[in-house]
Amino acid sequence: MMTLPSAPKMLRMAKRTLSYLFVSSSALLFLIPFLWMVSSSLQTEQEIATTDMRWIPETFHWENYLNVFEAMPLWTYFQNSIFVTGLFILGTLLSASLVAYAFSVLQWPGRDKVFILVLATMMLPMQVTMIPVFVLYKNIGWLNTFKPLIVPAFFGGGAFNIFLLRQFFLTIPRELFDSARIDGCNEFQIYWRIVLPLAKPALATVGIMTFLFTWNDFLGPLIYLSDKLKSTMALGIVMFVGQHKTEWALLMVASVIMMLPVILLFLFFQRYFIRGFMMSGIKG
Amino acid sequence: MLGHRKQDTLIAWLFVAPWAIGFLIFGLYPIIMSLYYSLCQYDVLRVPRFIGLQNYSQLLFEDPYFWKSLWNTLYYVVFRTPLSIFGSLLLASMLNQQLKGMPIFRTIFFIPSIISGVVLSVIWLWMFNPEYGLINSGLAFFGLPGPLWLQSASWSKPALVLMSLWTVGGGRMLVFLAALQGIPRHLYEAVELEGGGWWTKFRHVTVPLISPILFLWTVMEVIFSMQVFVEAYIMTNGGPANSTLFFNLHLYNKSFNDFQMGYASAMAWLLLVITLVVTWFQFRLSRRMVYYEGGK
Amino acid sequence: MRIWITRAAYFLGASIFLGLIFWGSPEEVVYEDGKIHFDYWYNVGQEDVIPWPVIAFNESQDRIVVHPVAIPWQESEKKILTAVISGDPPSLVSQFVPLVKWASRMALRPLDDFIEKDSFDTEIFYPALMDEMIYMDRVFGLPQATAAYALFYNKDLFREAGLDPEQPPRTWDELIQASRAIDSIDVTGRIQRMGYLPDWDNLMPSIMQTSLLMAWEKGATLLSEDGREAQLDDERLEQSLQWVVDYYDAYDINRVRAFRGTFGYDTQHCFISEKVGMFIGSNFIIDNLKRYRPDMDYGVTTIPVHELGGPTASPAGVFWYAIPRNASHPEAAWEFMAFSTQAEIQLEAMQHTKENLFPSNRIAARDDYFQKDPSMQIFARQMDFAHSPAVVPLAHEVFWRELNMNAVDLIIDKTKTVKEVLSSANAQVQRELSSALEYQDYVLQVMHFETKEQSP
Repeated sequence: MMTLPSAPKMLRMAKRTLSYLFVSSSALLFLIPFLWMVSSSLQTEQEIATTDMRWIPETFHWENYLNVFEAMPLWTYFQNSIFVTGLFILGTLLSASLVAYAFSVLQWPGRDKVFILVLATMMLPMQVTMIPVFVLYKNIGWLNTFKPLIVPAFFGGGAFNIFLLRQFFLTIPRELFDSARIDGCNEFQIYWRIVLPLAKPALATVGIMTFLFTWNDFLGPLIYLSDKLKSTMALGIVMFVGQHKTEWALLMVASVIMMLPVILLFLFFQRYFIRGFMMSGIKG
Repeated sequence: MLGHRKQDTLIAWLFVAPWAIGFLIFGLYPIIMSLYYSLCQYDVLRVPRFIGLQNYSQLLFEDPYFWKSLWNTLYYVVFRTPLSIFGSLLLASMLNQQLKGMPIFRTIFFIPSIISGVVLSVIWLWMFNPEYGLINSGLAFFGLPGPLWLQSASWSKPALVLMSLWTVGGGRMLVFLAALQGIPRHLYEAVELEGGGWWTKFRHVTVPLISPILFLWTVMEVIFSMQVFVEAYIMTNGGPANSTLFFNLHLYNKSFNDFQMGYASAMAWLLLVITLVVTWFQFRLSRRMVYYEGGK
Repeated sequence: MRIWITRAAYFLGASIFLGLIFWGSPEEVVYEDGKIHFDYWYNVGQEDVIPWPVIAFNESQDRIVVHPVAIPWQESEKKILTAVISGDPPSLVSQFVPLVKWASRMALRPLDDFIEKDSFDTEIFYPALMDEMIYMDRVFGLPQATAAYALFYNKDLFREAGLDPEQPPRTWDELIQASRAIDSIDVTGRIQRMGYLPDWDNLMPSIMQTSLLMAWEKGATLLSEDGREAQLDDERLEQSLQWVVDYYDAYDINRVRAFRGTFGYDTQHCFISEKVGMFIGSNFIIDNLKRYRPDMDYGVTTIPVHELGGPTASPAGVFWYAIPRNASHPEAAWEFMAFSTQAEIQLEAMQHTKENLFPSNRIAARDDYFQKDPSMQIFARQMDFAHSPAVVPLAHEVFWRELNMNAVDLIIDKTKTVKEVLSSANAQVQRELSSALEYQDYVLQVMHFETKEQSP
C-alpha cells in the first residue's frame, strides 16, 4: 500500500507548485514584449497591420534583417558605437583605477574629505552642467566630433566607478604594499603591477557597467553630433523613429540588432553585471 | 628634497589629478557658468546678455509650460515610484524561494533593465499602438476596448508608468532579494508561532528590517523618475496636448531647439533646488518610518 | 609556460579590443579630384529624391560638386543651427522657417557682396518672397519655392445649391451668401455640410483662412515700419475677426465643433471629402485632389475682396536658400543658388517633381507651362498680392500660438471679446519682440562690426 505524503508535506508541495506557477506566468508576461518584438521584426509592413495577434509569422521575412541596412546606415552606426564605447571603457578603466588607488591605498591629508566631495558630485543633475559644457565644446571646436563622448571618460571615469574600485582596492592586504615599497617600488609600479592584476574582477565589472552606459546612451550623441553619418546606434534609431515612425517592422529589426550585444554580453558575463548592480545598492 | 609626507601628498594628488582636473573643467566651472547663464539671455550663436532675474521671474510667473511640465513630472514620479518599488519587492519575495530554475527566471526579469531606453521606447511605442499594438489587440481579444494610449492626453502618462514596470526586475530587485535573504528565519518563525499570517510577517518583520534599503532606493527612484526624458522624447515628444511634456523635455526644447540657453539654465537651477528639497523632505520622513538596527 | 599563455591571451584580448576601436574609428571624407565639394542640407519633401536643381547643376559644369543631404523636418532647425555653432556647417541649406529669425541670430552669411559682384537681379522674385530675405538692409537668402493660395470651390455643390458654378463669389459678402446656400443641416440640427469655415484650416484654427487675409486687404501690416512695435490690435484685424464672430452667429457653435471633429487627413480632408464647399488652400490641394478625388468638379478662383476692384491677398510662405555663417565654400554655394533660381531651372524642377510647389521666380510663373492651366493662372495672379506669414518674424512662434491657437476659439466661444484677445495677444507678442530686439541691439553694440561681411 502506498503511503501518501503527510499533510504538511502536501501543503508545502501545493504551496511550491503555486509559487512556481506564479513565477512562471510572471516570467512569461515579462517575456511577451520581447517575443512580440522579434515576431514583428520578421513580418512585412502589410502583415503587421492587422489587429489579430499573430505570434508566429506566416513567412519568416529574414530579409528584413538585410533591408534595414539599406533603410539607414546601420553598419556605420554600429561601428561608431563600438568606437565610442571601446575608447570610453578604456578611459574609464584607466582613470577610475588611478583615482581609486589614491583614495584607498595611499594615505594623505584630506583624503576622506575629498572623497566625500567625489560622492557628492553624483547627486548633481546633469542638466545643470549640460549647457555650459556644450558651450565649452563649441569654443574648443569639439562639437560634431566624437571627442565630447570619449574624452570625459579619461578624467576620473565617474564617481560611481571610483567608488566601486576603491571598495575593491580596500580589500587588498596591506602587507603586499608594504613589502613592495620596501623592495623599492614606487607607487605607480605598485598600481600597475600589483593592484591592477589583482583587481581584474572589479575592473571587469566596471568595464561591463560602462559598456552598458555608453552603448545605450543617446543624449550625448543627440546633443553633440549633427552629421547624419556620425551617429551611434542609439541616436540612429531615434532619428529613424522620427522619420519613419510607421515602419514598424524595420524599427523592430533595428531594435533587436541594437539589443543583441547587450544580451549576449549579459549571458556570458552575468556575474559582473549582477555584482555591479549590487554594489550600487551598497553605497550610502 | 621634499619631506616624506609632502612627497606622499604630491604623489597622491598626481593619482587624483584626472578626477580633480575633470571636476574643475566638467563640474565646478560649468556649475558657475550655468548660474551666470541663468541670469542672461543667450543663444550660443551670439554673446550672452545680462538680464538679472528675468529668466526666473518669467519661468515662475509667465510660463504656462513650466508649471505643466512640473505637474506632469510630479504625476509620473508619484505614480511610478511606489509601483516600481513595490513591484521590485514583490518580485524579490517571489524569487526568494528555493525554486528550480532560478537563474533563468532571474535572467528573464533582469534583462529589460539593461536594454537601452531607446529600444525600450521603440518596443513599447509599438506595443501601445492603438490599432495594431499588442496591448489593444490583447484587450480586444477579451472584448475590451483599448484606449488610444500614447495618442490620448489622459492615457499617455499612465502608459509611460505602465511601461516602466517592465524593468522592475533589475538591479534594484537583486538588492532587495539579497536583503530579504538576509532576514533571519527565526523572526518569521516567531510570528508563525503567535499565529500570524503572511501579511503580519510582511508588515512587522520584512518591511521594518529592510526599511533602510527600501528607503534608500525610494530616494534614488524619486530622483531617477524626476529625470524622465528619453521615453517622452522618442515616443510622444511631449504630446498629446503637452500631457507628456516633462520637465527635462521642456528644458531640452528650450536649450537645444529654441536655443534659449539662459532660460534653460534657470530651469536647470530650479531643478537642482527642487531635487534637493525633495531629497531633504524624504530624509525627514525617514526618521519616522525607517527602522535602523542599533538606531541612528 | 602558463605565464606565457596567459600573457598571450591578454595580448590577444587587448589587440582585439584596440582593433575593434580602430575599425570603428570614423574616416574623414577627402576628395582629391581638384573640384570643390560642399554639402547642401535640405528637408525631405513627400518623396525622397534628389532635388532636380542639384542634378542639373552638377551636370552643367565640372568645377563644383553639390552633395545633397536630406534631413528630416523634425529638429532640422536644431541640427542646422548646431552645425553653425560647431563652426563647420554645410555650405548651403534650405529651410522654411522665417529667415529673419536665423539672420538675427547671426547664423547666416549676408549675400550682398555676391549680388553686387554678379549684378544679380533680385527683381525676378515675387516681392513678398524677396522681402522676407532682407534683415537690417542686407540680403540673407534667395527664395526657392513657395506655396500659392487661392479659393477652391466645389462646382458640384454649387449646382446642388442652385448657384452658378461659373460665377464663384468675388467679394466676402458674396461668399457669405454662397456659403449659406450650400449649408446643409439635418432635422436634428446636425451639420452635414457647410459652405465655408472662416476660421478653420482643416484640422486646426487658423486666422489665415480669412481674418488675416481681410486685414491684409485693408492694408494692415500688424508690425510697425521699423519692425519694433507689434500692432496686433490694429482696427482692421479687429474688424476682420469680428466678421468671423458674426459669421458664426447663424450657427450653433457646438454643432460646428462636432462637425469639425469629423475632418481628417487625405481623403478625410474637409474639402476633399466634400464636407466644406469652399476652402482657401494652397496648390497642394490640387495634388491631393488628383490622388483621391480625380472626379471632383472643382474650380479655383481669386480670394475674395472687400469691394470689387479692391486688392486681394494671400499668404505665401517661402522655402529659401541661404549660406550659413562660416561655411567653407560660400562662392560655390552662391553659384548654385544663382543657377537654380533662374526661370528655366525652376520650370524644369517643377516638371521633375511630383510636389506642387510654386516657383519663386516671377518669370517662370509667366511661362506657358503655368499659364495654360487656368487654375495655375489664378495662383500666379494671386502671388502678385502675396504677403509673408512671418508677420512678426522675431516673435514668430508666439504670434502664431497666441493668434492661431488661443485667440480664435475664445472669440467664437464668446469667452472673450475680439478687443480683449487682440490686446492680450499683442502684449505677449510685444514682450517677445522687445526681448529679441534688446538682445539684438545689445549684440550689435558689443560686437562692433566694421566690414559689411562681418555685420549681420
